[in-house]
Amino acid sequence: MATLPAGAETEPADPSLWSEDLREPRGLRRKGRSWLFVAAAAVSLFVASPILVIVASPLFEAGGSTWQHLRETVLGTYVTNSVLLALGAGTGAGLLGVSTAWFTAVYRFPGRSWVDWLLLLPLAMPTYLVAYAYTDFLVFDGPVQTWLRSVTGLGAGELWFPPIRSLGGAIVLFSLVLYPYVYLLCRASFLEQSVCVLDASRTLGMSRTRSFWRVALPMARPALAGGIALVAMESLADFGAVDYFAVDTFTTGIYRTWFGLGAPVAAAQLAAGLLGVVVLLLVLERLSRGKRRFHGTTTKRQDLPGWPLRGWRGIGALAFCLLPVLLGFGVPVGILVEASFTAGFLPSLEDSLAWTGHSLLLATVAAVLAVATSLLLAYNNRLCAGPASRGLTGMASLGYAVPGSVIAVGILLLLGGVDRLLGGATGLVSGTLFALVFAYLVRFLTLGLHAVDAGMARIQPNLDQAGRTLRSSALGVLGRVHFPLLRASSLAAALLVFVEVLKELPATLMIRPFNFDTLAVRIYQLASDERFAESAAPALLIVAAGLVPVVFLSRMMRGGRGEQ
Amino acid sequence: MIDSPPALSFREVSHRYGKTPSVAGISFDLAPGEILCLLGPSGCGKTTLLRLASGLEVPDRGEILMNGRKVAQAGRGVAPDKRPIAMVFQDYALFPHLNVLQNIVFGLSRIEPTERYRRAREVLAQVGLAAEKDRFPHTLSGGQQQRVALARAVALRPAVMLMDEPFSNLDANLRFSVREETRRILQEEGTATVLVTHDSDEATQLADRILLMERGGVVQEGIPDDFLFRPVNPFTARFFGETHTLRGSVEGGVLHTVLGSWPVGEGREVREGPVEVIFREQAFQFREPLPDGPRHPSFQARVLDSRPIGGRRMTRFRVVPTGKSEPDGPILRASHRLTTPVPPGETVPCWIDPQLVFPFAKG
Repeated sequence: MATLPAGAETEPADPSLWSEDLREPRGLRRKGRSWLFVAAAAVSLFVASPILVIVASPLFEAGGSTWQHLRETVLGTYVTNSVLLALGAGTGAGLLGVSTAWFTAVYRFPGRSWVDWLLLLPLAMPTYLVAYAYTDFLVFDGPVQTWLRSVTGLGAGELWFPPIRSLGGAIVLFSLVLYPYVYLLCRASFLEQSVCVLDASRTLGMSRTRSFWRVALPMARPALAGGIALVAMESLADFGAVDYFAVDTFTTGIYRTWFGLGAPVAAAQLAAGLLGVVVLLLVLERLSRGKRRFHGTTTKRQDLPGWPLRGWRGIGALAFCLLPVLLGFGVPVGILVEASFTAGFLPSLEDSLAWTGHSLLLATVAAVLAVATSLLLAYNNRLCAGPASRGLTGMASLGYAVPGSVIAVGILLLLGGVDRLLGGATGLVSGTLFALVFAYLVRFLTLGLHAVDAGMARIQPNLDQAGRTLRSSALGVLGRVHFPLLRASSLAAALLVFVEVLKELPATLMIRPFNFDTLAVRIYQLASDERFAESAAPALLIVAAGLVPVVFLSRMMRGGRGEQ
Repeated sequence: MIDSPPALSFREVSHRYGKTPSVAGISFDLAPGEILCLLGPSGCGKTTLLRLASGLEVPDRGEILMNGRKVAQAGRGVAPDKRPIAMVFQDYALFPHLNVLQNIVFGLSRIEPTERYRRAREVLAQVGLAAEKDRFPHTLSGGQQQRVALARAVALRPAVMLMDEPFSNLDANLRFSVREETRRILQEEGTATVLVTHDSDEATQLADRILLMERGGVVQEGIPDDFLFRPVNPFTARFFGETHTLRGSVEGGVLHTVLGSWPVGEGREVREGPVEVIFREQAFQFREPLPDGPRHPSFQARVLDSRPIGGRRMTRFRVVPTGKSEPDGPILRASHRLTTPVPPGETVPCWIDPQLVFPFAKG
């Protein structure tokens, strides 16, 4: 038998018996040469193509003297600032996110049901808006310092006040605004953990706090690592805030090299360096998951313990959870509201209506596309599990850590090339809405992918097999089992992408078609012109638009146990 | 019946996970309506066999037929959804987003809608859950979930039903009745079934025929009684209930042990020389056997303790040596009639039922 080629001796007398049905089983853990894998590969390649252009950029004609100049002068500063920013914001947001998630998931204290969703509010705040607002608030002639001077009676040079427009200021602000990524993922993870494991840990003699460290936190580690990775990548990608704070990072460097020095290739090469850091982060995140699977061994689902916190402990927990909401959302919104009335609320709002429409349209299209793509990639990851599929996902995820301006560079280089191939006319593909949505997809696919992937990991593998043995094709199982079970995850994914697109600044700034401004671009222009107050009303619009999905998400978050 | 092909045939099927062989050259037939148990310790390949039958795995060698149609051969196989099978999973794998009725209808999408729901209600009534049709899986008890999983599979009218340790998540006191119930439903439906289990009680309660597996191969095949009375090797003998092993020897057709000597018995062929002798706990009796029955050798036992367990009496005793100068005999345990009193501390006669004693040549 072993000496015969496979199939040679078993061809049935009646070929109709099997010629149609008997083929490589699809959607199983075999070498994935299925339609799914091909589709996933095509999509990943498409999404990664602008970044691949950047990766290949060192092979282009050397940036020559520009590159040499950069390396000798500012490159070191870019690296140091970027790394410190990502580390600092990741740590800060991680601490805030995981602690608030733990408190709201397992404790009962006064106001907890409000805090649940209040903690999501900073999701609606773009980092650059917070930077504009706090700067206005805390600078030398802002209300805080003026008030301090009048209270203490100290003169202008005598009162020391931490400078907001600094690296430290950026780290603090980023932590306060970005922690909801960690909070959302960790909270979902805590809620998914069976109460049994917590009870088991308590009966094994662990206190609540020790249970957290020894059981809940290790089980939530993929969520925590995923959240922190998101925060770090987001920090590395920020342009608006660091530009305003004059903290020289990779992003501002790239922007300056592209526009200031007019050296696109050198800008792309600078971006290639940043990519290295991103890949490192991705690898770390994947390694932290290791080979473990994180669904529990018990199928029992009960409500979480709801350990009561009474008296001052309850008040303390409430205050602790409200603090990030206040600093990351309440205070900046207050500043914006105050400023918007100073500048005349309605007139500046009327100016913004067209831009709002533009923003909403782009955000919706990008969110839908991103979720569809995420589902495809995550499903491929599940069915054709293996290094190839993981590689694809990793490739498609790269965009999130790449600053918008770099993706813009990549897309403009790429689509410019396509334009030339199509017939030479510039602006055929580049400089269209297609290019802009493409950029958003590249940039924000990771958000959707993380959410969908995490949801997918929570679905017992047996359900796939049950679906297959109940006469469903692989595609049928996706539609009838995974998609309904992933509704919550998909909505979360869509929400995250939607909000991010609304806030996105640098890529929009560079790629948008002529005369197609969005809210974010408008605000940036006003703030750069030192007309912060005028931008406050449109800024509040961004925040308001971002709030709608936050409220929606919070409703869903309450509706039982996530994916149930 | 005679003319219909086997519901399922494995022919020289082998499979490996990476480089680890999991199933090696297995062949068997499953008759229509038959219930076959794949029994064995964990890692023996029984679950892989089930996955091969379902199409979730593909064999590396050999072929698999269902109702006479080839569904898999080396490296290729019909997809699970194209096979006339149904599967019941260990954790039931009920879809948490669907209610009971929707779970059952899930697999019936190729039937026209009115018939679909009629069939679903029919099987729900069969498993006694007609009233629970609108409830969601997480609101059901374990026993109810198990029955929904069974109903969902039965509803398909599969040619072959595949069950993967379907009772292991149930409370022990529920298991017996749920197994009875399951056997009744499978027989009513006339469904050919392959059931995987590591529990010999489960196998003997449900199976028409048992395949005992070890390390990817079949050790013994037969009806339940074959395994209890005619084990082919020590592994099989020990797999069905508690046993004790003593050294002994066979000389001239007579078995010699510390408990005495008696003829090996007809139908048992054992090589002359040293043997290991396996006694079922049920082999030891403290009630005098009927005088006209087969001869039961006896010895003296000092009772250490005795307690009722599971409708039997479990008695620990020490074998009293025949000669005064000999050392104390081994401590053994008997599982015998509940109504036979054995006062602890006393020395009483103990009879051995040779049907439950199995000598195996050493080496």
